[in-house]
Amino acid sequence: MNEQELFESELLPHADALYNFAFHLTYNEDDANDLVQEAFLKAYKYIHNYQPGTNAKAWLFRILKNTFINDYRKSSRLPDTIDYQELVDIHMEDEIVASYQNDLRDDLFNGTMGDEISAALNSLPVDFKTVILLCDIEGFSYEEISKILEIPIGTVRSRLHRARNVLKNKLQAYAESMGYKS
Amino acid sequence: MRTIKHSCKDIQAKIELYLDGELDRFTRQNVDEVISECPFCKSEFDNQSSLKKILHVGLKRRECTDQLRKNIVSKIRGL
Repeated sequence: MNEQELFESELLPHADALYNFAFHLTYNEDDANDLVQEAFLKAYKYIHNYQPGTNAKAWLFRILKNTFINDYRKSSRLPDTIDYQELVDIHMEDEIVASYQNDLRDDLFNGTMGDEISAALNSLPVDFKTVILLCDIEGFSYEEISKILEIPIGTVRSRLHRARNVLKNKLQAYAESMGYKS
Repeated sequence: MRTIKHSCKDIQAKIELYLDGELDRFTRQNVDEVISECPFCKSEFDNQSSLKKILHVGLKRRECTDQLRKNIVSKIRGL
């Protein structure tokens, strides 16, 4: 199998998952398209580093995450992101929730964020949002997330815990309306 | 009805790991046994489980368009 065939048979099938990740990181279709394309081109450039039959999805997610951090977040297209640690250190989690309530309502009113879950997720600092997307949406293990994000497993666990505490409060009303126990 | 001696705090700290599939079988069984008897742990389990379900099922997934896929393939083939 040549590199092109390897790319099309093992890497390209993850395009949907990769696009979903990119979209939720950027909340913009054009930016998500650019990010996915760039990640795939980088993957192809370094395909000699990829071991056929190993975890292609995690490898691609790591490339996309690095592309997002190195290229995309530095570009002027995004407003400055708030450092999650700073946010958590300064405010109590309840205060974070309170401060986002108005944003959430505005976003829903304007229809800019799509559904309520997207809006809640998008209001999280990007480092929190990323672990939720990787764990709860894509089903990666803590070990895989640790490799994708290049952070210790303990950090994966604490980010997930903090992110879920914020989401739990935000989505409580939604959960009740959907018939889930509060 | 037998009561399993446990610390709710310890069990509740394990619930996220349980739901994320990060516990070994023995610890998982221990959590199962406790939540079948302790209403506080059961309630926390249900809350965490609901949140995970809401996120997984409720978040609208976005898909790569055919056009993007075609663009990527044509760029790769052109290299």
